[in-house]
Amino acid sequence: MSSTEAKKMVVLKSFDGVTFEVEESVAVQFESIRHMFEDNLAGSVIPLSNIKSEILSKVIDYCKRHADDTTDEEDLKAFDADFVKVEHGTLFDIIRAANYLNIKSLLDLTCQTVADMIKGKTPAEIRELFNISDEFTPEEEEEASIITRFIYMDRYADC
Amino acid sequence: MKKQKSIPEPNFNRFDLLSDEIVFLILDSLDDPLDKKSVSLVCKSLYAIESRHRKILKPLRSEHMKKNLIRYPFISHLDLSLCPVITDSSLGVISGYCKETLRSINLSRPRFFSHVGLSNLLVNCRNLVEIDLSNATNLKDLAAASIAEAKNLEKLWLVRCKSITDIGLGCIAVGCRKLKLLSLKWCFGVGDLGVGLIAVKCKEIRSLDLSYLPITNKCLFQVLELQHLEDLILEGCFGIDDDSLTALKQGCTSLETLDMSRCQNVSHIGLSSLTSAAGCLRQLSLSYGSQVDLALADSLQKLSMLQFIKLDGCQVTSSGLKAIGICCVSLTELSLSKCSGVTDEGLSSLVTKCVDLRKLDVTCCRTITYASVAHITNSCTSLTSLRMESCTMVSAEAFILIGQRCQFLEELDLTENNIDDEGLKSISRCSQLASLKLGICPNITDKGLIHIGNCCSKLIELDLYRSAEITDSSILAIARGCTLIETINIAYCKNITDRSLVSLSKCSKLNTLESRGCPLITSFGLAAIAMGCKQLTKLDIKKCQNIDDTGMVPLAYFSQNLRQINLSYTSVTDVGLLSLANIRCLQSMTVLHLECLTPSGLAAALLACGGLTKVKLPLSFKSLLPPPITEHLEYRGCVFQWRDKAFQTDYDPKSWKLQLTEEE
Repeated sequence: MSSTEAKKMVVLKSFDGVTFEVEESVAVQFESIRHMFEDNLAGSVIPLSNIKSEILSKVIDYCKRHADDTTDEEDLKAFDADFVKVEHGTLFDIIRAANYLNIKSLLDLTCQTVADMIKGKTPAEIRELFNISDEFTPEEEEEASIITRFIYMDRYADC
Repeated sequence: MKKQKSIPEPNFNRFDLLSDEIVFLILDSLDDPLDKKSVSLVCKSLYAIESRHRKILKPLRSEHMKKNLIRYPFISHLDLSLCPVITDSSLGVISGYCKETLRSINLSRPRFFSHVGLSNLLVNCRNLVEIDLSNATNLKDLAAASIAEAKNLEKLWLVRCKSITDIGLGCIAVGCRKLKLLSLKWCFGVGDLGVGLIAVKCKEIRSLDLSYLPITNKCLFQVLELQHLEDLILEGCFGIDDDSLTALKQGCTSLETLDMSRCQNVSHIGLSSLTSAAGCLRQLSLSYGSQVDLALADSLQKLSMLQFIKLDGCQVTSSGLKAIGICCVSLTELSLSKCSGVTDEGLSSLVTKCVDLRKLDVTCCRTITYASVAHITNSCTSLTSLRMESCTMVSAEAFILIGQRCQFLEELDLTENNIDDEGLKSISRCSQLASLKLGICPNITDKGLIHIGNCCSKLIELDLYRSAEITDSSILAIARGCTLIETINIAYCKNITDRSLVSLSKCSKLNTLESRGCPLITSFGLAAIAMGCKQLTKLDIKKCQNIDDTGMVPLAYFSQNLRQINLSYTSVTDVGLLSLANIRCLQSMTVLHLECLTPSGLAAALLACGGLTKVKLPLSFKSLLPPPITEHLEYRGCVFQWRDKAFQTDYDPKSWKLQLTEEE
């Protein structure tokens, strides 16, 4: 008896029409579409019209790795650290995909990555990092900064 | 899932493609409020999203209240404890803007509001579940009656509301049936009648603080019938005594925390009848109470779940400590601070049994020696906190054991001890160390401290008060190795120069710098700190004679988070003091013995610093400041403390110790 026979497969189709065949054990991590293949729809193609193939393949890679019980914690950490070393555009696309598919661990990982990039930076540095143009007028910026100053100065403000 | 556009334009803002909920997730991952501030100032859309994200507001002043509440429409917790002034009209603004969103408000410090404003708030913000009105000494029963209108209230703090009586508390008992937490500490106007009514009407109470109330066993019996009571604080309740406690039929079975410190009239007899049914008790404080002896230890026997005992300031016997060790084996926390009678024999036999201890406080247990430390380190290897200030009989070798055996230590207080460089070298193995206090340790030098700098990278707080041997080399090593440091005290380390301050300026998280009595540091070093340490909130440069106005200017420009400053005995003049007005958050200022300070310069500076809540000034200036100016400042919420101290008198709280040792 081969083990591949026992494994149920699910077919996913990306925004640009590429199909991916994945094991059910991997696809169950996609919380938001879980019901679609759990309701005995195995074999039918699930369209994911929001996700490009390039991103979907990365997300599937991530879920495969995390579905694999044999990987030890250290390796998984290393994999995660490596996984988020991508261009900002890709990272933001993965965030949106993770949110759409409701994969909590991936969403946490990627949001934390963005947060870590922001930590300790000034507004100007954050603008430069993410290539955001400054839409504030100098007056608006001063006004925002004054009001804000009265709120954030306390380090325990958010405790 | 919302708002996801699929085709990005060139040069777009990536954050615009993320839904609010995703940006909220990113904001949630930022622990430092200053990072959230930076995000909010990046662009208009992030400014708007951050505004919608914020739930908690803790402003320093009430002037911008309206703007703030418009900007942040979803505030559910408003903490006004830092505002110097809150009037009925400010409460009116809050009532108007927050309405049903507000769930919790802290009014524990500001004054000037009355029951009218309070009533307005409670009528409009009907979803309030938490109110802290501590220190509102002017509020009377009329205010209590308006609190009673808040039917949904679950937590209420009335600490030091001295003018509220049993009548007012009765109204609260009848109106606020859902109360789970009530603190009446120092409400001297409240007695058995009021507390009894609370116990009868508010059946949901979990936590009750009755400290220093003139109550007797009469209401205590009713309180103990509360089915859900978990925390009971009876500190300083002199009216509760053994005689009537023994009459107690049944104790409270749900109790988890009991504080009976300073209950002078309760001995082990009363205690055992009180705790007879309290089998779930986890925390017990008997500080400053009766003698801790065999009889008292016996009364703890039924408390098998006990994890934390606080016996501060008690007279203890060795047999008592030994017996506690035998009956309370699951202890994780023990405080014997300032106890008399703690011997090597008693402490050693206790710690040998309590191997799960995580926190141990033996502050001022002056008779313990190497032997105690050997036993502590041998049995309690999971210790995370060890506080042993002024254990002066402990020999230097003992500290080597601490480093060898207690490697999980996060907090270590060795103030006024015989530790030397070998000890420090050993302690540097405790890589989790976050707080290390080495004040008045005359035997430590750079040689030992450099090890700490090299190995303890998680250090957040370091106290080197009067550890006079250390020089710049130590501080350089600390600044290089301990980049997370937030608080450092180098007061009276006379050899410290600007080099230390320049190196510390690289520690961007530094928020507290105490460098009083460091004669070699100058305005140059201070300027480096001002430029590098943007989070500086507390600065003490008393007796740094070489700091003058040129140090104040960079401080005024860069240190926009500075809240507290002590400038006494420096060379700062009117000009420097006035420049500090640029720091909008400045709340507390101590200005004694500034030789060149003039009354008009001081008046101008005080008027310009709009947020001051506390100033310490020499008494001689009291008659020199125009009364309308002082009155105006008081109206703005500023409290004056006038000091009449002879020049050069050192009134530092710890300095007596040094003088004592010098005399010996």
